[in-house]
Amino acid sequence: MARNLHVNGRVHEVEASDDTPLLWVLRDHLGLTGTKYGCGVMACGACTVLVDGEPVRTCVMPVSGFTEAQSITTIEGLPGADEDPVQKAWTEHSVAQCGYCQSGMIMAAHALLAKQPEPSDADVEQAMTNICRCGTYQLVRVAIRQAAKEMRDA
Amino acid sequence: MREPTADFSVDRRRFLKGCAVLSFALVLRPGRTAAAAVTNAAFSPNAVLRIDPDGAIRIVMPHAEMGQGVYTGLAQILADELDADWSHVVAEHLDSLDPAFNHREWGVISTGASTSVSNQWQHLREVGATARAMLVEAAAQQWGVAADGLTTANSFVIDPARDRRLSYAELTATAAQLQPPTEVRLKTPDQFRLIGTDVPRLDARAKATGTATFGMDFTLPDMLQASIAHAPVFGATLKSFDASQAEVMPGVRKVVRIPSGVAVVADTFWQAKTAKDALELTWDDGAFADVSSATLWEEYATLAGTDGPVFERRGALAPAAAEVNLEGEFRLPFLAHAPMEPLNATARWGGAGLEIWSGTQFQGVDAGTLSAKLEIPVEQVRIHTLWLGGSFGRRAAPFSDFVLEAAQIAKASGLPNPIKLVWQREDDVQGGFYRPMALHRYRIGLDAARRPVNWEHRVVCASISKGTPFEAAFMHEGFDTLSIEGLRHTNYDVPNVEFVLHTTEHAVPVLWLRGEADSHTAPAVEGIMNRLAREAEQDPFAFRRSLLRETDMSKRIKGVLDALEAGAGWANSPPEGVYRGMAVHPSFGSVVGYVVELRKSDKRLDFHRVVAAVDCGRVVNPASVRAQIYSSVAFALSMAIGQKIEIANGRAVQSNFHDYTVARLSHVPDVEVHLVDNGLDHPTGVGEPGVPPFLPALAEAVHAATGQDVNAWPMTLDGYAFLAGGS
Repeated sequence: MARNLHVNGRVHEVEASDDTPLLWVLRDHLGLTGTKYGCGVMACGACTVLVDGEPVRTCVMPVSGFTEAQSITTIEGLPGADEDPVQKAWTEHSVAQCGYCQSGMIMAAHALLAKQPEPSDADVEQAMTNICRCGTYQLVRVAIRQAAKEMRDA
Repeated sequence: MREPTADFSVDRRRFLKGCAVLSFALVLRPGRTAAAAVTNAAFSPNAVLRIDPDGAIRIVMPHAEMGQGVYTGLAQILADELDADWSHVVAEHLDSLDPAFNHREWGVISTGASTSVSNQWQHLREVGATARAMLVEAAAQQWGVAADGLTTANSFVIDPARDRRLSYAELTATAAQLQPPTEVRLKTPDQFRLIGTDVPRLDARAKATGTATFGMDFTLPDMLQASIAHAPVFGATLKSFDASQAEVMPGVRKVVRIPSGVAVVADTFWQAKTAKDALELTWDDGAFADVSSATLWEEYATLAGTDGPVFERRGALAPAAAEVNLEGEFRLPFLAHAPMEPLNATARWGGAGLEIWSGTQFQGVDAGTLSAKLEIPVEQVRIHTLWLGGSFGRRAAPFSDFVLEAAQIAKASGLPNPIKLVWQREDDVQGGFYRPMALHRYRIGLDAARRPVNWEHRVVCASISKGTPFEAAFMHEGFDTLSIEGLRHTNYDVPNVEFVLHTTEHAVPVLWLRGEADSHTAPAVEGIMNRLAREAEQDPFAFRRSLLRETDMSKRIKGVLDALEAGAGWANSPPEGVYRGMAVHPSFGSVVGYVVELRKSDKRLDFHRVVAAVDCGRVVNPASVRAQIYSSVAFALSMAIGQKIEIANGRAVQSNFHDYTVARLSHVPDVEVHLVDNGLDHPTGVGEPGVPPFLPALAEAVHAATGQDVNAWPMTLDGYAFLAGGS
């Protein structure tokens, strides 16, 4: 059925069955392929987007559970590597290796820093449960620290 | 914002007619598009390189970028010799089967075995230096001066005598008319400007903004998507299937049977997947349905207890010389690669042949397989390489499984549309092509001075190369080197040695995984060395130095041992409550050693510190090398903390990331990396050699902390929690 979704500041009308996970609506219906399919069981976090600022793993959540009143932000909705402190830190430190999990990582980092401008190591460990098979975690920690500092200084 | 689509590449093909480079544009920098750049004045002295009149330096990548950083490293090598302005460099994905892109040693377009930088090193330097010489000659002609007084820097030819310069952009048309010189002079290392520096990754921005198009993200306007049902039991065959329900589900276009399963083609992935789940399939499970991990280990243990073919013998075992015999074994399970991007490929079958878009390590191999299996000339196969969302060897598929499936589905569907086949994570984790399970059993005789005199070692492992196109390349005197590399030709000098390989056969297909055979031989060999050092009551560094035979590799190993010992401050006792272990291992032409320090509190072990020392020859990008070592530690740590594929009733037990363990951020330590210069003038491997020595170093630290021997991976500790704070 047709429904409206509020994605990256715009309202989109999408036609998809109720059980279609939000992930596949974003990817196949809206062409927002920055959000990735990694597991389909909410275990890896590659599909993480922000829904009203909260990190949500979208690979299981059916689209019928979302309304136009909710603001969905995908990686494409962030300001980009020149302006967004998180994306900028990720770029400057060459965090990504294969890069496939990194959209989800970056969205999770955003959600963390919005709540905790000065996260402890334990905060980072608790918030960043996304799987990266390339093992970029050490540089993820470095980039989060830099982004946090830049956001606090701004 | 989006990368160009295939329609765009068709335009480019017209533009590039007559040019050796047929490349799929990959715009890594905003404001620089291939469409704006291409005119007939481009200078392309080699298929790998094209300099456009706008100054863009386009390097078509002969190797796949799966995270290991080769796009950046390869570009650095060429751009350095070219004296290019790095900000002008654009990496392009390969979409040609031109032999110019062949692996320089293997003679086929392919990526693997940590060889990308090493095999292209000389070639790409020559390409860069040749282009530079031609640009200098072009400037000399334009100015009417002799070339030998001219210099180059940052994409300019400079005439220092007359204080003038011409950009490479201004010289492309003239240079394009010149014959390449027969000989060029390469830089001496002191002249390198890019090689050896921490150049940021060319793909960092695209991968931080979600704009990098992986195979999974590829799309065309009329593209359909497919989901496939595979046999749940290894070796099972399909008896029959009923698609009547699936066929009438929304969006479904076709249901097709191909040799490896039944696929549903639909408008979207979710429609295809939902309909696939509605298929009713009847399988003949075959003989393997009775097999489990327990029965396999039983078989392996029995074999390990019997004599078998000897692949390496030195001296003659002298039981009388041994005062004490040490026995032990190591068990390592099947492992799935589980790259973050599930396997996928898009195929279009039509009048002009077959067109594939995928992230594959094996373009040349895949093309041959597709040609043979679909019975079309190889000239009618076109493969467009995209970003690989990880691989770890899985996308170097000897039978081209996922690419071939996509092609077979496209052909069987009878549809003209491009069709993207998307595997689910379960297809990957449960689908085999695992790192083979391996059992190592040893018996080592020590003399009165506690020096090893006899070393009997039996490996039980399935063959990776047997029955594949690579059998001839890897089988040596009847032994698959992919089962024993890292043990055979060991640098440790034990006078009497007898190494046996029992090659097993089972229905589970096996494949190289990052670290390859060394991923199980190094935990065995280095685990043994740590035990022997303890038995001899010697320092593990000193023990190894005393046991290394005189070889070129041993000199490098000793250099790494020195750097590791100093870097870890091994001479100082560890702090109270900290326990440590070390290991070192040569593989893929490089040497990596680790010191692992664990902190013990109550009954819990956590990382205190991890120090690595790495000799990977001439370092092209130190930051990239460090990143590969961080990566290797995380990859190996996963093997320690629970990662395994078990078999029950002929099927894989684990299915997805909820039960197939992968290390997360909370598990993974910061790693301190020391790069070791042992004087090698060329690069050697770096993607894989960091994996093998980590587990034995960790095992020894665990032994120091708990007194427990770790002889099976993933490890289980009695009464202790390892990284209990992890998720």
